[in-house]
Amino acid sequence: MNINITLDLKKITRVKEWVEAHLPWERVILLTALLLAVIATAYSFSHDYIVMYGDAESHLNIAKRTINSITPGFAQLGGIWLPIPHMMMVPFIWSDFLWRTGLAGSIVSGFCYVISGFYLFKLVRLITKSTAAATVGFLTFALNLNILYMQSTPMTELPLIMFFMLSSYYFVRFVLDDKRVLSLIAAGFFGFMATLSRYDGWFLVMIEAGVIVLMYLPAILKRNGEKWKMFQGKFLAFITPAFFGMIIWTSWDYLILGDPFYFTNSQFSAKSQQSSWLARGELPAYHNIFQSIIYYLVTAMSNIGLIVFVLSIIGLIWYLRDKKQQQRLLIALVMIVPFIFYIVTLWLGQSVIFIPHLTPVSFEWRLFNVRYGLMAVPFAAFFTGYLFFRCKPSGRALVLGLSLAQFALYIVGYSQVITLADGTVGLSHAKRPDAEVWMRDHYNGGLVLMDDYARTMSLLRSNIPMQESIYIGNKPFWDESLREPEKYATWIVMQKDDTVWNSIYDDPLKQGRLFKYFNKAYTSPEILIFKRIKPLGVDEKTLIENGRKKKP
Amino acid sequence: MRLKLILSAVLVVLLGVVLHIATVRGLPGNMGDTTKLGSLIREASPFESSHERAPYAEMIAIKDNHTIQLTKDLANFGSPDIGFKGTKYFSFFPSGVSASILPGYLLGSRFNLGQVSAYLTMGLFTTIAMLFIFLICRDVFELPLWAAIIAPLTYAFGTTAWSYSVTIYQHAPAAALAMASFYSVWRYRQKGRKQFVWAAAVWFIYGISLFFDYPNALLLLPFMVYFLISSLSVSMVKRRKKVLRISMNSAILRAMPVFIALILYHGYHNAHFLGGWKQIGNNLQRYTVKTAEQIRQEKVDAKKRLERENATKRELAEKAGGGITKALSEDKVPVNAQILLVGVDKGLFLFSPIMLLALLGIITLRKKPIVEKSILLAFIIANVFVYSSFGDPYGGWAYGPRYLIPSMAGFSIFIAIGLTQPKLQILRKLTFVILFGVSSAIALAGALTTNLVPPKVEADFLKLKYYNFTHAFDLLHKNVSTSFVYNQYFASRISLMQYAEAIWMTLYVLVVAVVFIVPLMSRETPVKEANK
Repeated sequence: MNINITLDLKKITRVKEWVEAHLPWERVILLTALLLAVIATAYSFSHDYIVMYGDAESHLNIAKRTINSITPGFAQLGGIWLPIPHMMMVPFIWSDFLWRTGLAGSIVSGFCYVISGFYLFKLVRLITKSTAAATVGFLTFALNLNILYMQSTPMTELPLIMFFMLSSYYFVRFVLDDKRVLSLIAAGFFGFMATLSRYDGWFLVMIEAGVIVLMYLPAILKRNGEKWKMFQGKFLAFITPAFFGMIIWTSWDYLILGDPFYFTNSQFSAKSQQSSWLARGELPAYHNIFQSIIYYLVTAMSNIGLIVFVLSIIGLIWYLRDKKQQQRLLIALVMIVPFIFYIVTLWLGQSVIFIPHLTPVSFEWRLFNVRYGLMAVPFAAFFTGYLFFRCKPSGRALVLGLSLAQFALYIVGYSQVITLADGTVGLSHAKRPDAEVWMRDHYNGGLVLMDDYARTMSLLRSNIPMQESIYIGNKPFWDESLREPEKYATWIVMQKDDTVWNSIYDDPLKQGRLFKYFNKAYTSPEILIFKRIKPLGVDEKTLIENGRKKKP
Repeated sequence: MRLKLILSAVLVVLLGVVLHIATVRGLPGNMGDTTKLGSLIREASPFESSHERAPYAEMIAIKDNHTIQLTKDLANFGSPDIGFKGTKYFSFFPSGVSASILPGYLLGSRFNLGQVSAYLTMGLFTTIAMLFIFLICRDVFELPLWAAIIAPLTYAFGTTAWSYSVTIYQHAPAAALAMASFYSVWRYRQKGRKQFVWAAAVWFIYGISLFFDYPNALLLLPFMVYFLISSLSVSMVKRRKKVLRISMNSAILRAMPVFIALILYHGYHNAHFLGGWKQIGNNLQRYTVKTAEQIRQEKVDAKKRLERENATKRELAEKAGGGITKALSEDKVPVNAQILLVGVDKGLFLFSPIMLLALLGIITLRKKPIVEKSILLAFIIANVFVYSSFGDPYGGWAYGPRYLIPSMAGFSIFIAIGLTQPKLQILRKLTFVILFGVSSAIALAGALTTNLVPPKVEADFLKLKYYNFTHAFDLLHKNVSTSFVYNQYFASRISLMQYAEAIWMTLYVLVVAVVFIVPLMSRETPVKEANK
């Protein structure tokens, strides 16, 4: 005895034909991505997840300082973090509401998420010529909860992923047909944007340049003929925009900060931070290639989800074995750039990842920087889409089913949204000391001297206006205030062992001066807040103007 | 042909029964006196682990008091795998194992062998698993007779499943139920007259498996998916117009009440004894009484405490949040899968290197991806995946990866499939007999001695020199055995090593004969399976 459902085949065919002919598929993809971005950001906003990362607030503050600061301007972009993500926030950061809530960054990341998803769709379709496979690739990317969370934050991962996708898409177009010079130039331009978004972008353009060399290797070896000329022209057409970002940045660092490699040599660089981990013997991947590979693979897997990770590895293997795919090795090389970049930087000790799967329990922290694995999500989505394309109908159902099962495992909590965990309980999370609550309730105007690098307290949550804060980037206010604390500041906030504490509180002479002009208004074991006893003799605006005039 | 088949099945069953009797753990007497049981807790005894004591205590409670609630004496005996609610004590484990060993106990107690025959029930489960593996190889994959005999022997005596078939753990029933489930679905798929009966069997097995171990619900899921897809068919029908027909065999729904009845009974059982239909023994507060094992456990806990103190407050908050370290989590998979498969203390391929040959069968999926192979592989993956997600992949102190015992049954079938492939068959068979020799020796050493082997991390802390099968061989040399038959009838005549050698040689000669001689006597084509 059977239970039967019958469907008129003509009707099914008609619907299928209508969908293929009339449905604006690209618009559907864009709208779906937009909808998902809005829902995810609304969720993060309602749960106060947007500015959970300590770095998230710093990114917002950098953008804010370029327009709202006692010394506004592009110099506030600094010399460590690359400027594009901050510059993209500028149109939204004007609004104090968007700045304080972090939504200024969410808008940028959300936009990047939509474009990334769209171009991933286009890339899979470019390779497979299948809209269904491209949709599966898109869904794998778009429904990844780590991506969805990070696109709701002001972090810089999504801008990089967007430029990575854009550059890769146009670059693959060129690789498939080297007459498409415009695609190559577009790849170079988006590579340029990537190089000014995160340092991963530098690796991307170098690998892409290497791929061009490999494409024309026989001609390069001969060094004559039409192909050799073509190579020279195309190589220049690519590297001119693509490498320009690196030149700009090193020049910027040299002109503003006096060292072209300030981003890697300064005390604020990742390398300097890693050296303290190394000194404590807590840099497990340093000069250990096996650990570097394992750490990044596991981190990537945690961001992608185990099932999709396995599917994508199968997809990669199938892709590499597919002889119909032209230039498959070169395209695969571009797609695995994040893996190469992070494995190399982990090995060099330029970056560090702590992940509970691998990090020994004896370490002080076991969850840190796991968001680096996010860069591998486009890779996984691309190869899952490709795997879907290669499968027979039953296999396609399985790939789709397993991809959705992965999403379900995230929803039920079996797979953890590890980037959110890092932001909430990992070392990447922003501290929330009581002092900022006190400050929010008691701050009533006046300049605040505070070491922003030490992240003593949040400007966002303590309600201090950006233009009322004095930090290391406000020259000459910062240096003068450390010498004469009473000169500009109405409030001084210091945390044990931060620059303000060391310069003022630990110096007996300056401490005497501090207590002459300020009262200790708030005390905790770590943080002290001082408030000026008598108001400044001059109007604050005049004071700031006078200060600015001294600026070198 | 049919006679050959029956004789082969009889041979498989006979070997299962004989070898399990030869190695079953036990002591003479009924072991039902609750006041004296405590004195039997020691290494290399049938009650060396609380995993054996807790279900045994529950069985005694059912026999004596017709309840699963334990007396204080029984709770002390079963501790620390005992939970309490108020003044009531219960075993942590579902009641399936305890209930299933009761008939054996009652039968054996007539001959003053209650405990031994209760333990033999697990050997019976493994023998049932062997029979189903044999049937799967023959009927589902149409393997030659010799390969169909080799697969069950590999599972039962070439893996550490042996160590858990001679004592009372839930793994032997789990493997038997899994194989029975797979075979039942396949029979259901054949659309014979007894289709409803097979559908009812599938539902029954799925329901009853929960009485043995709750993770069985996940382990058997691939077979339930197979059940579902076997019930569905999509076809094109041309009547007045072309229509797409999606049909579902109603037997799957008509037989479902069998499962519902079992689940309802399970809920009632939990509500009656534990106070809530969702309440399970494992959720109760642990009852501990200081025994040698607890003292050892305390040392381990002390180490864990120390490690925890070294972790930061943030780390503790992270743990309290339950995100990273909750019971079942994807985060644990990479490390735990490595422990279960290749770990130096519990690795499947270390304890049973024969399992490596399963890859030869699995790769046949590439050329002939029939659904049954895929489902069997999915079952293995589900097993590894589920237990790799657990907080403790080691299964405490255990001999080999005990959680992977159901997978070992699946792997054995793939080994048989791999062996029947025509390419380099002699080399395949030679590799098989070599690896089987090693694996069965390791399995036998564990079966005859102890399952109490610590994970390396605990062995290091406790300054023990052993953390894998080497300990079993040490005990073998020292004549320390848990085997009832050896201790009772042979200990005064031959050494344990000689006893082990005799069993191993018999088994090995038989296996070599099946691999090399039986095919010569058969007119079957080498690989019928390849034609599927």
